[in-house]
Amino acid sequence: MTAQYYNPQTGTWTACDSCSGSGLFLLNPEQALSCNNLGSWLRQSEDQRLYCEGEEISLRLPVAMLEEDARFGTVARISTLTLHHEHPDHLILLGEETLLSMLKQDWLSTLQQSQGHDLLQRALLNSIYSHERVARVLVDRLQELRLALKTAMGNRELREIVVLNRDLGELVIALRETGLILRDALRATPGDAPAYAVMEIALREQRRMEEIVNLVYERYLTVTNAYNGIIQNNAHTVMKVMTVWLALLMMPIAFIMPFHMMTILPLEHWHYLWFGLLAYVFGATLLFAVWARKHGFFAM
Amino acid sequence: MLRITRDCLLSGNANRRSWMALVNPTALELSQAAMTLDIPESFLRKRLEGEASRPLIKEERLISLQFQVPIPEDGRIGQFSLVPLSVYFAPGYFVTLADQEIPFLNQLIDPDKPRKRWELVLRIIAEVTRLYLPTARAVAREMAMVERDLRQAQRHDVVYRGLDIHDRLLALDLGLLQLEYVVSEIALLLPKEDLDLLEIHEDTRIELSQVRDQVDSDQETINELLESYAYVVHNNVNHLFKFMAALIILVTIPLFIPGAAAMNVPLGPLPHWRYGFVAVTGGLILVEALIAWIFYRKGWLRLD
Repeated sequence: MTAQYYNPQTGTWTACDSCSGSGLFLLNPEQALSCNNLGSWLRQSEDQRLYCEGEEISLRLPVAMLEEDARFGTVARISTLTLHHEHPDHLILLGEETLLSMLKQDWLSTLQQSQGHDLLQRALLNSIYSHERVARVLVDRLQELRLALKTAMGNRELREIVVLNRDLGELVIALRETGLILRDALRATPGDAPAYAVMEIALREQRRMEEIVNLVYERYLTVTNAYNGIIQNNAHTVMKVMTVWLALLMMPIAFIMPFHMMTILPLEHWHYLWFGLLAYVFGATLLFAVWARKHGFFAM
Repeated sequence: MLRITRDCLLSGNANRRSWMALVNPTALELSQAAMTLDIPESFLRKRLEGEASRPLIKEERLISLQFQVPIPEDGRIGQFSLVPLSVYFAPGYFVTLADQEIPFLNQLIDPDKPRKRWELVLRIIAEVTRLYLPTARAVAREMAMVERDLRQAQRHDVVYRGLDIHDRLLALDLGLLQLEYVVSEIALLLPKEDLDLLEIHEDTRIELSQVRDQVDSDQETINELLESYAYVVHNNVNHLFKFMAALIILVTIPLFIPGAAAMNVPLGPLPHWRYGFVAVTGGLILVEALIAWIFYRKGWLRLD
């Protein structure tokens, strides 16, 4: 099997050897090499992120994806999607297999209603919205980690938060790159070309999405110091409770000390003095413990 | 629920249109609406779920707008949900789609006084903007409550409450950002000769910008304060440390004053002196009282 061609009549994907003719074609880099008539385009797309010649446009856009990292859990990854648009009814999408499956999943059941420039617009918007979708997942993960900080003493959660913040920043940078490519593409496309209007819409959405993702990134970045405060507070709380226990253990010793003196002691002939002294020292310590508890000294 | 009210609004060419209100529609109602309006059902469903999409779409037979409406939660001040509201102009219909009833729509859309379509849209946006303002204020007011609890707080719960306020303000800010985008895009579609409409648009834009400035400013304040909140909590815990350290010093003194009289060496006349115990213990109490007074004066033995 080489490329996958979308058949709008049956609403299914079929294998094909050539990517010429009308329709939507999906292929990964290995498939592209074996596909006829794509050699020169592939070479161009490797060298440059934008190629425009009349109505023919090739764009290599960053697309945000999620992946599981053994050390940091869910993280963002920027992949690339290359769009090759020769005429209104012809679109080739080149990207890694995971990305192509994701697109097929997103477009499932709605592709039959699309045609011509709709496909280009969908592909462009999909790559733009991918950043917002990933940002949402990262923010959810960030909030989970933030809750996990409640009991954290180490730096694992904080390290993951730092990675997530950095990923959010990467999304903003990738969106800016998309904006630059689209702006260049608009400059290089004749104003009356049908693809011009599509790219103009995509550029407006890119600006909006950049503003949204950037706002989320900046807002979450500025509160990172509060997370440091939370972790420090966890350590301080443990030290506080340990200190109050230290004081509690020292109290009986302090109270009993006068009765260690080599002097004539009061009540020294009283038969129950030992019990009385124990009751006195532990009673006094207990009273202090009750008072300390009331004032939150033991609160964890 | 699918509800159709006839002749509620005037289209661009002054024809009357019906209002189709879709409130938390069932799958059947959604497909009925899609068929009547000739819009793909998946398009309506995605809008209902609030998926990322263009907030304003203008096509030959369809104008679609989408924004988030803050609906306060009953009995919970400062808590709200952002409900995606979609508005469509399709041939013969003005459609509203949301997963819950939007309270002001019934007052704005009146069959006895049908409004022009863009006037209605701008009035709806103005109402939504007005809902953002008290919601944002209620959220920001919670900061005062957090600050009140901060005085005694030893745990980071107050910081978490601050973070929650931060998240809610960010959600409002993002909702306002979308609304601002819709308003700026509408400007391109308004008939240039209708001065009244342009004035309503300008008023709405200014009002929206003011609300967004306020939310931004509240959020910047809470962002700056969150770090200070964490420091205040640290300081509260440090107060306890200071108190405990002073107490431990006081508790350590009996270890060496009576300890000096407890050594297993000849202690001179002390073991046989009748007032030995009273003298040493009295001295100990005096030393303790003096040190405790010094500590208290220095503020080391105070909890507040």
